[in-house]
Amino acid sequence: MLIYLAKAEAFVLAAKCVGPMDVSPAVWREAAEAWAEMDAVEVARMRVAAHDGILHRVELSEQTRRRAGDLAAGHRLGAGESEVLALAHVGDCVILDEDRATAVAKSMGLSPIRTLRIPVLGAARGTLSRTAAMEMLQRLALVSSAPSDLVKELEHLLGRYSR
Amino acid sequence: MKTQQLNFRIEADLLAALQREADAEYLDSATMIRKLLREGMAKRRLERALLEYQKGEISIGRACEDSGLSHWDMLRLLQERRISTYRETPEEAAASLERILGKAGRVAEKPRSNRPPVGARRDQVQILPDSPTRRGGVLLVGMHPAPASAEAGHHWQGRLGKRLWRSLARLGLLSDPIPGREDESFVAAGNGITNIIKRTARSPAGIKADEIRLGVEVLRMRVERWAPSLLIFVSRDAARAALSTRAVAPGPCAIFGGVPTFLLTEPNAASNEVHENEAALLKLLGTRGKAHGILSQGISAADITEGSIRFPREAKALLPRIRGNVDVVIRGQRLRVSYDPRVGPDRARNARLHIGREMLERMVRAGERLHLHVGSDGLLHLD
Repeated sequence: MLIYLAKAEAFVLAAKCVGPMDVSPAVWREAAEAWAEMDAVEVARMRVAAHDGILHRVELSEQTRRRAGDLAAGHRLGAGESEVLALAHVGDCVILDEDRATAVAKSMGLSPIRTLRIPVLGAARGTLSRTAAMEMLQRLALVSSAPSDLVKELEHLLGRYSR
Repeated sequence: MKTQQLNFRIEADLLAALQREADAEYLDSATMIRKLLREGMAKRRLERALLEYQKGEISIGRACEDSGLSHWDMLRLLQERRISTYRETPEEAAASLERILGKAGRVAEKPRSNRPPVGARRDQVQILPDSPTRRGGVLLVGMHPAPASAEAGHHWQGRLGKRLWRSLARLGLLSDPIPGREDESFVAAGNGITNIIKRTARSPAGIKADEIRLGVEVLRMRVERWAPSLLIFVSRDAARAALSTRAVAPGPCAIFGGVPTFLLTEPNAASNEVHENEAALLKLLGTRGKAHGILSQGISAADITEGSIRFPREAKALLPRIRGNVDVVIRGQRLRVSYDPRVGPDRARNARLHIGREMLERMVRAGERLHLHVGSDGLLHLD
């Protein structure tokens, strides 16, 4: 999620669509710290987004950490995915770009959304103009190599839901 | 590292090939075997992780952990091998979106949860995004958004913030602002807005030094990228943080990132201090070559007969505080004209420059509006 948003330079737009986003320690480690030494521009964008309050780095309690460990072992998930699920409560939206983790999230009563759908949400809620949402969708589609039929469907939905 | 012995037999041709590889790299056979085993194991781990991921048996995060690749490298590898990370059909994607948004074709008025995505966050922080300056514009720099502004979704919407916008309007930095959305008018004029600290706070007292340091670094990046002609600090705290000195006073301050800076008076300062501060800023804006200024009111036939030009009250910031003569360059011609601020006694009225009927008839036509601004020569210009 972070990687795609950073590549597409879409943190501010994403915040307009869904508000500020919580980031678990493992997600931050995997996305930002692993590449920090390489001085990648995407990492700089993540840091600025964190500084701007768009990304909120949360700490895990011991209980949440244990829960994340159980989820990772039980469902064969990575540390980042399991921490996101462990942090969320029933009814929460979680941004996940992963099919297996998405299936687990649904079974937990969460509302998973993929990064590519964020602009559609923004357009539907009226927090992003149709043009801005379309541009964001195209940027995200490009950096995530999304299948063209899926992008077309999302463009169609964006047009339908735009306020 | 602790080692253990392993005895096994291999074919002669394989041993010969191994020996050749070892010789090529000036290694002994045992080191070469260990190296090949490590490389082979890593490759095998990667292939198994990819296979399991493709089958949907493990997540992408687990595939990274099992293979030892970073997320970035894994995404790149999946792209190279044309393995899609999107397995759901477009129909499934549509159905899932509709579940989140509400009934099919309708937008849910209330989100399912009133909390933001990704985990739990009860103290929702409103974002007040920065607005970039167009090249040559002015960048307004605050310390942090006030809770009232974050709540309103527009910069400086508290009681003191409103005073700031009125002051900037007097300076001609925004025109026809919509109450409550003054920041939009300011940005529309090519100016930018940023805060050193993005999160809301009631006072800068609780902000850690590290956070301020990072904020100043980010500000430096923005100044470099946006290339404003002037930085205007809204508060003393913002100026102190950016310029790394406690010795700041309202008026022109030190250069920041190669750009001149200016500190506004505190919003509750005495009116004469505010007036002097605004006049100093106007001079600075004028010397920056920016077409800031204030339009006169439409010049009517009666005005021409009277030989006067009327100006809105905002123009008084550019003009003397008391009645008297003032030097003005009108359409290139320097004249000494009389000025009346018309301050009372019951209420403030429009300011008036008396030029004389004959001169005015020659220089303007009825219906025109002249632009009052401070020129690079420091004089008032009417164009």
